[in-house]
Amino acid sequence: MIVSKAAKRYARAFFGIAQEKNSVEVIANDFAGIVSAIEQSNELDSFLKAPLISSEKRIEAIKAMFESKIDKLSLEFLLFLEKKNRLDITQDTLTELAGLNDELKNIQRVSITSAFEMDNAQVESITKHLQEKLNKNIVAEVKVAPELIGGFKVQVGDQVSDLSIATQLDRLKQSIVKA
Amino acid sequence: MATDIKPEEISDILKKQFADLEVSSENYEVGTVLSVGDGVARIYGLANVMAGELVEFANGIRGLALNLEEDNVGVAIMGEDKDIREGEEVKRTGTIASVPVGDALLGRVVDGLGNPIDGKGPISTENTRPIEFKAPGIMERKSVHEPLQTGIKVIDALVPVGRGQRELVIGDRKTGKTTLTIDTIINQKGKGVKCFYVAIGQKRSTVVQVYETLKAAGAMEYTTIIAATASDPAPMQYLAPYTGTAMAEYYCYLGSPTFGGTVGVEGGHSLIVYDDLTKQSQAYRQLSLLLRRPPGREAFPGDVFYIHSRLLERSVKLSDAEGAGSISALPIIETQANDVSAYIPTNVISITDGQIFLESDLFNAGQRPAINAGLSVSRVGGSAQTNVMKKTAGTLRLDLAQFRELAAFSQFASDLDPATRAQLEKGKRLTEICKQGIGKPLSVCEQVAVIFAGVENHLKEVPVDKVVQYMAEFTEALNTKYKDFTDSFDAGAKKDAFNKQRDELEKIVVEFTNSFVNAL
Repeated sequence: MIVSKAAKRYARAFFGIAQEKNSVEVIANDFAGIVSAIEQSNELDSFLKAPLISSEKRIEAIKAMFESKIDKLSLEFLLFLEKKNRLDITQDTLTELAGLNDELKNIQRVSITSAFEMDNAQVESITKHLQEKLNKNIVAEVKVAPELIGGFKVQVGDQVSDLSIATQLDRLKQSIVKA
Repeated sequence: MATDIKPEEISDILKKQFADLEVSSENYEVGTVLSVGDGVARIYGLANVMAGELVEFANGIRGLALNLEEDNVGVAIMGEDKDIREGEEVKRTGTIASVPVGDALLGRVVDGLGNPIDGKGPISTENTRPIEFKAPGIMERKSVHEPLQTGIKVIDALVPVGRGQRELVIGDRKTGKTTLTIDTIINQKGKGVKCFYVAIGQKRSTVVQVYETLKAAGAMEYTTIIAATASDPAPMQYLAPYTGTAMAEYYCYLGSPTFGGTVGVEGGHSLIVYDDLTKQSQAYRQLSLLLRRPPGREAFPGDVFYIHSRLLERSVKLSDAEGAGSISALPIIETQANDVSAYIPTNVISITDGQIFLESDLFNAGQRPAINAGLSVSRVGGSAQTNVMKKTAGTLRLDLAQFRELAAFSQFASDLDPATRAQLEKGKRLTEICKQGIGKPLSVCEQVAVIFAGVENHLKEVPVDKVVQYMAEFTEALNTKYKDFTDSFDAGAKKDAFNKQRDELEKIVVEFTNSFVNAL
């Protein structure tokens, strides 16, 4: 979660180039794919980080894996990272890129946790409310946590709005204990 | 008689509380634990947290946000760190640590955050104060002018402590530093001074001893003990002095309109003992090193001076417009092998208004309290002394200094001229006069009378080894035979009244000394 400073700088530079070439959309898509590939495959992750593999081999492998699937600019960026010996920060850089993309499109990611699964209409009404309040495009991630007993809580960045029964009960307990 | 408990009543009360509870959303800010260990956690998130703010971990343990860095927050955990896990949620509380204050705390023993640890139930007080408080400015202050009687004659005579003064007590281990401050607390009985004893990094058994001593002397009625013992986490030991000061400030600022007090109310007087600041700085060093702050001299962090200066600056004598309250402080520093030039001792010496220097050599030689009269000073000086004491003890320091200089020659006693020999004899008796037992504070009148006898050389007929006995009997006589004089004694007497008192005292001393010498 602590993103290295290098990752931030690489991400910003690359994002700048993508904007110039008007291919932010394509690249964002590419990177979402690469990140999920890294997250799913331990082998790919360790391959990118292993110092024992020679540069030529790695370049070949990267080309073989991604050449046909991603944009030329994205591939060049990966190869550039390899050249700079910075493939270990790939994941951080990509996360940071996604953040920059969100910012550009005025997207705010929120997580909604509820005790029971909510239907689309319910999620819709919460996101609509948030949209009006924050004046941002909301992308919601929905989670289910039975320990909340009832109700839900919404987390926007570091801010949490808690409307769960568990918290209300806890507050009742505190008010009785302290009274 | 069995208490009459009706189940219906209880459920009614509970129902009412349930009905009163508003269902509303609770908004708070969270972060995630990245790493935890050595009593320190690093948190991701908590973007708006304030420096020094309290945060709450998922299991209810609290922490103190100390390091605000670009992408994480360093938090000192005030409790066991083994129950905190990586990835857990951490909540902001939105408050700087604050503690309960007020009369409910008197007689209690609390921990570094003001929670009771004496098993006497919760502390019921409405009032709280933040533990960090900015020291009052120049306009709100007044220079120290009234004495804080310690009851220890050598201190009250040579290094007087005033209300609002900060007098450092410094010395090696086992030289009577704690005893001296406890005696001072005991002597505040009936003088309207509230006392706070902050024990930092001490053994729990020592704290119990102090509690028992104070209780036996009836001093717990006006005293609070703040104990952050050796087994408490370092953040608690670091915070305890600020907690104690916050409690002392409650009384001091009662009459101060600038600081939330009431106009026209007289401000209270508090005395606070920090026992000891060496341990506090060590706790702070531990914290700082674990938070990866760069170490400096003796591995202390760069701001170790500031933690003591901002603490001791909160001791104050308020001006009349602010209610004239005061906080006097007796910080204690333990030295190693009498080395006062180590880092922390020099720091605190430079902050305080003087120091009482205790020496193990003197202590072992039977000179107790083992105060080194040459090195001990009070920068407030005479303005913190009563008139009579000032006039009586004026030459004591000089006499003692001359004696120390001559003491080296004392082995050639037979070859010395009579004048020098007389001075040596007087010096020996004056050194004896400075001795005083534990838990036997003396009133101003008793102190003045005994010192008068020594300084005016009325003891030349009394053998040196009988001086202690002489003092004991004399003070007893002052409270029985010469009670009229003691009762009419006026410590603040001006010139004419002083001369009259002095003549009377001289008569008493001569009369008593003659009867004492004859009885030998």
